[in-house]
Amino acid sequence: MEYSVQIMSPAAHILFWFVMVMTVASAALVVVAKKILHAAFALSICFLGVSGIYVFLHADFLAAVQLIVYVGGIIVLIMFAIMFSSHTQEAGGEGGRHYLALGAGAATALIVFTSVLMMVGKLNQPLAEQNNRAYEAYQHTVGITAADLAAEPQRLGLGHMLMGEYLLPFEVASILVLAALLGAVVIVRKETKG
Amino acid sequence: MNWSQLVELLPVGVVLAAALVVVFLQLVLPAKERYVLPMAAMAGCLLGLGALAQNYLSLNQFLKGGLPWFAALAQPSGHSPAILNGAFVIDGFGISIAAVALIAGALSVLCASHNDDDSALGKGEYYGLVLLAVAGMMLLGFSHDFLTLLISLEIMSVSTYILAGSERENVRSGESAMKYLVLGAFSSAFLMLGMAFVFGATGSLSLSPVFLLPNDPRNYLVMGGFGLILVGMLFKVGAVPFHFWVPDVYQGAPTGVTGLMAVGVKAAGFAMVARILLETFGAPVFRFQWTGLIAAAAVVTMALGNFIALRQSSVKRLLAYSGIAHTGYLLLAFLVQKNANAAMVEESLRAVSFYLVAYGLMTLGAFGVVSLTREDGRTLENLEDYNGLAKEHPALALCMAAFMLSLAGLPPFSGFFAKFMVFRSAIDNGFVLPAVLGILTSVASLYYYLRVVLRMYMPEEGSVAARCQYAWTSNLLIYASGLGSVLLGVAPHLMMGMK
Repeated sequence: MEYSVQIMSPAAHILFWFVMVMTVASAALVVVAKKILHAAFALSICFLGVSGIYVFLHADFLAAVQLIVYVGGIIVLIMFAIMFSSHTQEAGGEGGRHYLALGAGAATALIVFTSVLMMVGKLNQPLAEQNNRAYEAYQHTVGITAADLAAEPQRLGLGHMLMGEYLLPFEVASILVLAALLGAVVIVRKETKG
Repeated sequence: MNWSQLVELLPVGVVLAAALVVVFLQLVLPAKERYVLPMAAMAGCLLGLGALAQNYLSLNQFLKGGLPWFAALAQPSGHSPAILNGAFVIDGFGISIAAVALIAGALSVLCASHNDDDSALGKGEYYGLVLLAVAGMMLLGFSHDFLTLLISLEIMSVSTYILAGSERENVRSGESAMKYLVLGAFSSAFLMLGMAFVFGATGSLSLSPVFLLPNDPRNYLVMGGFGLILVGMLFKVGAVPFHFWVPDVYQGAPTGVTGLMAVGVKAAGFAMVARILLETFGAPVFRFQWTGLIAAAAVVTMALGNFIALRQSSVKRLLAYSGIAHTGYLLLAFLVQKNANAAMVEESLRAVSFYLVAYGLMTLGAFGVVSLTREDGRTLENLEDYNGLAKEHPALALCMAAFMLSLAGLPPFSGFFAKFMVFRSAIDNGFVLPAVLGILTSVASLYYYLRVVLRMYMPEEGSVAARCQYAWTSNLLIYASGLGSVLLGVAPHLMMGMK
């Protein structure tokens, strides 16, 4: 996998901007949608867009995982949750405060966006160089050949990371899942007396 | 990776095992025998403390001994080897955080153990979640890279979100859980984004110091990431501008859980603050930039927390605002001057760990008193409930008075010494003005703490003093924390290994 800065073809450029606009617009729609079902649909489009961003970052495997887990799993779960729950209190927001919150959110997003833009503009080149260096060093430590990596770059690298260097955090994450599971039991269980 | 080092994490393993055992027991035991659940949870905490003591001993041996028994607590970070590829570090500071978490867990089990099996608080899942939260806090205390730090933080947070809402028939409890969940997730997002920035700049997840040349363009990324991390951390410890969730969440949650949040979550949050501020961004070039911010946050937090607490009529809410104020005092300890040496950083870490232990004991004791039920079914939540408590329950009132005076920072109690260490650390480092403001707000805080004491000993006319009924477990909790507060006050060298 080449990590040097590549120049995109015009078609790719158009696709890139299409995905970006789609992601941001659908994310905004999630916030402003009046009906929760519409918000859920917009969220699924937003997840699709994020997966597209991963493709543009050469993280194909991550893009596939994003599709399977978020679009295929989480969104379906959300849809089911909406189906099963009651919709009686759905209509109407809180009026004035709604717009205030919207404005504050938009302002924060704008500030974060411009500051990220400024930072990234200052260091585009060094980061790409550094990634290349880190990648070479990593190949060396794990002991897989460049040919292996060329064939299956991400799955191999990720697998080695998760089952090697980051095995412990990976396992500790299962405790987090346990806590969430236990919490789900506490929240949904019927109150029994005696 | 050297897996035999996993032994060092035995205290966490013990607590996790206890959590599983408690949940399993809830499933298999008949309703009549469920009184063993709190006992099992308690045993888990005590065994965890035992395993932790083993960690002290081996650390002491590693440091070539010569330190008094408890003084290993005050050893600065970095003296003991990082384990498991630097994911965790078992040092004195981490051990002291883990000890606070275990004590908070044990006392909050005691606080809930008189609930009968009918209520959600008497069920096995409750104790299981308390133990999981404690395990998360301990892991957070030992974490030494961003990944384990984040996962531990989430283990702790997810468990406490649910614990806060576990009193399901109480609307306030649900509100508290909801607020805590939304704002907690929000602050975690800030933290994660900041970590991503720092990782992008350094290419490393480790908490070891960031070194970049002054003209390196990646400095912008690091500073942006640091700002986001700082926001996330101040959220978690409840410092002003990010304190809005504290009063509502503390008031709505069941009192045992509030105690756990006020002490354990705060200790774990400060472990994160200490590691990130003093180690990751501890280089003089960074320290120069954040000391001003922290000083401002500390002063505003102390002032606002104390002045709003003056007007509270609910003791639980009063303790919440007092918790905000104490966050401010703790932040003072992080004011380390630009060219400070390792010994001065060590001194301020000592102040932090002593403060957390002292604050933990007195706060848990005070919440223990608040959780007691009067004969008319109300808990001792409001100020008027304390009218004439001294007549009916002299020993209890004495303990409560001790907690209040200790929180205010009066001499014979641990609170005095804790504040003294913090102020001295700030003044030694040249931050005289924040320290003086801290002393002034501390004097002002005496007013609202004394109000509680006065109600107990000089009841308002026409008020009825009600008797409380309480289990021996609550007694144990209150007297143990009272004893601890006095002991640490008269003999602080027991823990600090003072010269």
